[in-house]
Amino acid sequence: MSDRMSGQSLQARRIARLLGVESTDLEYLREVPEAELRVLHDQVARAVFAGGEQRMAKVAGLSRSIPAPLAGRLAERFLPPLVAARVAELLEPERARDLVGRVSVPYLADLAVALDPVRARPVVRAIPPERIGQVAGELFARGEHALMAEFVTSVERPALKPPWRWPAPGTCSPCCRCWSGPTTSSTSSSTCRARGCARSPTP
Amino acid sequence: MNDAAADPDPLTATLRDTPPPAVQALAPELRERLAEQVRAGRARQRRLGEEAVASALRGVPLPVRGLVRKAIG
Repeated sequence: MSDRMSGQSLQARRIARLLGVESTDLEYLREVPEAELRVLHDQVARAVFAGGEQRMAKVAGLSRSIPAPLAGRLAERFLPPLVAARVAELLEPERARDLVGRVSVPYLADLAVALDPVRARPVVRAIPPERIGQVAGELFARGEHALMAEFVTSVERPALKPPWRWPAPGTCSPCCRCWSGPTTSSTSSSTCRARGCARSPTP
Repeated sequence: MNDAAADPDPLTATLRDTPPPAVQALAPELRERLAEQVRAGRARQRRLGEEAVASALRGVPLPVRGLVRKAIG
C-alpha cells in the first residue's frame, strides 16, 4: 500500500492504514483540518480495535513470561505491525527497551508508523537513543518526515542528535575547519590530511 | 459515549463517539461511507489478529504452547 500520495495529510494516511485502504479512498477527507483528522484517527483506532483490548493486554503481559529473544521473534514473524503497535503501547517501558533490540529495524519502522505518539510516549522514551536513530534513518529513507516530526516530543533529547560520521573518502570534513576542497583524508584516519591542515576531525 | 452509541447517525454509532466538527459537516453519504470503511476495518483487524495469534502459537515451542494459549485466551 503506497502512503506517499502527494498532498495527502499524514493523519489521513494513518487513518487509511488503520482501515486497510488506499489513501485515495479517503480523498473526501481532504478538506478536514489536520488537527481534527488526528482526533478522528484516535476515534477510528478505538473503533477498529474495539473488543480486542483485552487480548492485546494479555499479549503485552505475556511478553513478561517468555524470554525476550523468543518474544521478539514471534512478534516480528506473526504480529502485523498495526497489532504490534497496539500491544507496544501497553508494554512496560523496561520490557519495550529490551524487545526493540530483538526485532529488525524495518519492522520497528513499520510499527512506528502505526504507533500513537502520545499513547506510546512512555515506551518510546525508554528506547535507547541509538535504536531511535536507526529507526529514524529507516523512516527518513521512506520519506516519512512528517511522521518523524510527530515523534520529536516523544523521544529523549540524546535521541535527537544525529550520529557522528567520519567524512567520506576524498572529502574534507567542514568540522576540520579546512576548506581546501577534496583531500586525501581517509575514513580510517584520525587526522585530516588536507594540505596545510593538521587538525583532527571533531564531531 | 453512551449517547453517541444511541445516535442514529451511522458514523457516530460506529465510532461510539462524536466525530470532529468538520467530519460531522460532511455529506451524509460520505459519513456513511466512512462508517462502512470503519466497520470493514474492524472486521479486517479482528481477522488479522486471530490469524496472527494462531500463527504465533504454532511458532511457540511445544512445551510452553499450552501456557501461552491459556495466557492470551
